Amino acid sequence: MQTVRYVALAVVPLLSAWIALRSRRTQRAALALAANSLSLALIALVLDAPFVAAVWAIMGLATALTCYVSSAPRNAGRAAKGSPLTVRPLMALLGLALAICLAGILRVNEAPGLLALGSGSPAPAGEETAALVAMLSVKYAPTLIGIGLILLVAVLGLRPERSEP
Amino acid sequence: MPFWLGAVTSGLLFAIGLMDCWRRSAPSRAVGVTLMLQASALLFVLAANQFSALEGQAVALLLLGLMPSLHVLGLRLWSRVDSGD
Repeated sequence: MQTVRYVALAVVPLLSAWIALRSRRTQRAALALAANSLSLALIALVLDAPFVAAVWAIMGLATALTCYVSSAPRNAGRAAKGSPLTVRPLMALLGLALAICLAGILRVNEAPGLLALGSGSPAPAGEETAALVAMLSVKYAPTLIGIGLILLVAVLGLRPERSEP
Repeated sequence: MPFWLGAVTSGLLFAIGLMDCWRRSAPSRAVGVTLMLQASALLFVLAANQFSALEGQAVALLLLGLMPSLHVLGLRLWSRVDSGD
């Protein structure tokens, strides 16, 4: 029974990947991509990696939303004819979700429930913070350089096109 | 989940993504890049589970963090290839 469950768990991401690539409609492809990410997050949860699973689910949903929003010009004509889901509300929702996430990261230590339970992490002293930053920058410098280079390539690839005179 | 089943799933997912990148007539090639990254992240999580090494989870998180930017970059680059720039 356990094996059958695992095989079903393995088939879902493959099937959703196939649908995402073969679908001609962007909306369906984005939904399949989201399903793919969520099923893989579920596998990560089974493999005792809950934090990776949470990040996977959030990133997968964000990528699927980006995929949907990037198809906006093609859907513009359809939206004008009365499509219920237009791009602007979707962008507003995405921005709101990002703002809530960022505010949550900043405010997590001040949440009353966490402080009452004593589970909020204590604020580090100034010297400890400096030592921590120095240790992290030394240990993860090559990784940060790699990420920086890839993001640089991404920014160069995304630069606005110059209009021809 | 058994290691072999996860590895086979990861390999097939990677192959599906790669196949789509190979066929340039497909409509959404950036999805192929995303799927290849997903497959790599799955393999690292599997390895971390099998060998009890947290580094595998860290690399998986790194790949997932890069996923959106590479997805958008893939969309741009392939659209340029299509337009002949």
